[in-house]
Amino acid sequence: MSLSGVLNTARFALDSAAAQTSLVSRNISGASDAAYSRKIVEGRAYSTELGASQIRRAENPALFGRATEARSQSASASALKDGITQMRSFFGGDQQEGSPAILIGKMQTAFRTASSDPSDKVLAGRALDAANALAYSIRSSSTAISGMRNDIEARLGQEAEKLNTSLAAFENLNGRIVGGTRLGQDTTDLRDQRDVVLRDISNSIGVKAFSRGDNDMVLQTDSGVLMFETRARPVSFQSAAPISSGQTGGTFKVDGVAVAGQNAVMPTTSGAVHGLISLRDGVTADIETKLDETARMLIMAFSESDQTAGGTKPDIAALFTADGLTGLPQSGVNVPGIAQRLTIASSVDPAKGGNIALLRDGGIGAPSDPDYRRNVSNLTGYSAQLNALSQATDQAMAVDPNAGLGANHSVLDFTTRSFGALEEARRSATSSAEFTSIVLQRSTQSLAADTGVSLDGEMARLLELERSYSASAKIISVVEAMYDTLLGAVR
Amino acid sequence: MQLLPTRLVNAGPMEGLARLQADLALRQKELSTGQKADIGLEVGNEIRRNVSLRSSLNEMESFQRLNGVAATRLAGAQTALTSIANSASEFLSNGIPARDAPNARFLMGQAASNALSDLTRNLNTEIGGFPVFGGENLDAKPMKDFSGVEGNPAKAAINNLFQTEFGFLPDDPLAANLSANDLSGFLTGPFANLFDANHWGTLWSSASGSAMRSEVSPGIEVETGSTTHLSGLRDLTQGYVALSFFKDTAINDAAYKGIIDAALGSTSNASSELTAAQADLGLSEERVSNATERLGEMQTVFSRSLTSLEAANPIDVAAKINSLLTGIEATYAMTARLQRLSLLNFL
Repeated sequence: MSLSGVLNTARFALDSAAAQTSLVSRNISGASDAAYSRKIVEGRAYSTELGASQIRRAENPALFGRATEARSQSASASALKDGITQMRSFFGGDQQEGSPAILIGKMQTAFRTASSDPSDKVLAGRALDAANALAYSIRSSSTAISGMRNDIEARLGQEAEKLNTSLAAFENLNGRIVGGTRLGQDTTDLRDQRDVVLRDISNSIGVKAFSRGDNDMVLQTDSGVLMFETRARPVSFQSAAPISSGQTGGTFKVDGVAVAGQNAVMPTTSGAVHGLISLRDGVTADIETKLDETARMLIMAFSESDQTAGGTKPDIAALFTADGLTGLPQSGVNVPGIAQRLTIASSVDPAKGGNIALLRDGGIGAPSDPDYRRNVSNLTGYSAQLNALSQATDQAMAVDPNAGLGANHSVLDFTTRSFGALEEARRSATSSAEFTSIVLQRSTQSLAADTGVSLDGEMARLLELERSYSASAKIISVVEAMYDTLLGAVR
Repeated sequence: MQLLPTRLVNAGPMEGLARLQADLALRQKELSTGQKADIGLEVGNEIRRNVSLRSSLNEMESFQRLNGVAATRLAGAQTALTSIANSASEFLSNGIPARDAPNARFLMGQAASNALSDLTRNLNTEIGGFPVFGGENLDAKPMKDFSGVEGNPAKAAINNLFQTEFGFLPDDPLAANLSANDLSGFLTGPFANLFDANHWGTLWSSASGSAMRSEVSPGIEVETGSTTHLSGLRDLTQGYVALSFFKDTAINDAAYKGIIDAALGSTSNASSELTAAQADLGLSEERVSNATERLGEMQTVFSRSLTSLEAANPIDVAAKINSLLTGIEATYAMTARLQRLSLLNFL
């Protein structure tokens, strides 16, 4: 090894130290950026420009995959939990004061009080108010839930757009990464950015990522449908809005394959899309059906029949009825959408030109037909009808089994169980959301622990580099001195 | 071994902070309301128990309130009947000896008039504006006042019947020729019919025939009022009316004595009928008070159950709040100290 060889080596060492220092400064600048992965020097640096073969980034594909999965699970669970919590808010607070079950109890009490003095119009008015409050609560919460389902249709459309945008960005980055890798360039920052896009995608839909040669990536949904392979595949959502009670909504498709909604052949099991579809076609549809059944049961429970002995006239809808209802609904069969049309008969409501005395006398469903009137002797203190009204919601009747609560219940019992079902769904969804959120936190932390930047570590490295730089510089000055000595000796 | 990224080291303690703060807010709400916050979230489907208990408690409270009203009404009716019964037995105990007195006609007639207005007043008893003897007709006075203009239809009916039977009116001088026997047929026949169930509602009372019925506990209905149609009351009225109506007519004293005898007989009948009616009323009163007692016991049990499900123990809550505050303070302290721990400070 000649002196000039030593000089060369020292010069290379200086270059290398300079290049590694630039890497340290990159790391320091990215220290607080969650998307930044630590850059590491591999092998020996031979030039100021570090190429692809000399830089690698800190990565842990297994942990990254786990975190991606956890993110999709958490997105799904929190979409479901948020939706159910919003639905619960339609029914009042901690005392359940807006729930049909409690409002039915208040109506019963009001009827009972009115029956203690059937001639008192004020008491009758209060009973009518209680009935109106119940009808209004059912109508408005059903309308609100319907609104929620249609909002979900809009959000699913937005998710599809978001995914298409993200996949386009992914395509762009992936292309540049593959090209850069082939040319031997440093693609570590691009790969960091690509990971960010992948993270966004995993929020919307469950995704599995596969690596190929040249840092290429292939993306599939968690159910195996191809989303990206060299080119992005199209994501589409056909909205079915406005959806009404009992209708299912639109279908979410990736690359033409249905992955969520009706007829999903390869359904996704995580991501916000999954959570939203679950909310739309599962819980909200279920609660809507239960409200529809409640409305139908109220109409049946308060229906009136022919009071004449051996009378053959049909039963008619009376105190509780629905806009556009003709005759009575069929016993034990759900009528989708009836909850949004539930109303109190105007024949008994003074505010709509009706006669409040019909509450006591009967014949609310047909005020001009004496055959349906119960108070035939026109007694001012007739209490039998009001007593019957206060007990109507305690009578068991046929329930549509499709409402998921059995085939025979009183209205009061049915509404209590419905409320229980809603709270159970909320408890379960909230607990899932908490759990998946914790799993997500832990996995992102583990990943960050492997790939993040420690300022202390970088500072220590910097000290090392400084020392090696001065050592190399020292060598150069020593060699220079040796040259001087040599040349001095030769002269 | 890897150095922990700076971002994690600093952010670590603060991540838990969000949960601590959310918990603190809930505990503070519990402390101020005394109720567990968001029970439905904790118990899920079991909320049905809370809803049922609350519903039942509301229902029982309404029954208690209404039963109180019913009890007061029944007590009012019972008091009135007692007064009527006492007045009837006084009438009997005075009347039997007075029958043979020289001014029996004057004494008995006057006594009957007084007893009749007493009866009328008692039967028009209202409790809180509610006529307790109205049956199911609540908007008119149950008993018409015979001595005034309200009694004119009844008086006209008696006159008509008398005329049909004897061919002349009671004021006619010819009436003085009637004997006690003549009158007795009249009194036990057409006259008595005026007080039967069919004519009672037209001539004497606007009350309906059935008493008010109310639910006193779920599924159990009881009579919570009375009606003037009770047979004892009708019989009493019959006796009093006979004596007071014919007192100032043209019939002779001997015939009037026949009326006295008939009246004493029907009054004595009425007394025992009234006793039975009061027993029935007493039974209703007992049923109402039993229902109230039973409901009261159930209310206590249910109320205790609901409290145990929903009440927040203030001591527990205060302790939790303390430990949360300590945790939050510790988090802040840790974060501050970790910020100072950096190699940069030592270079």
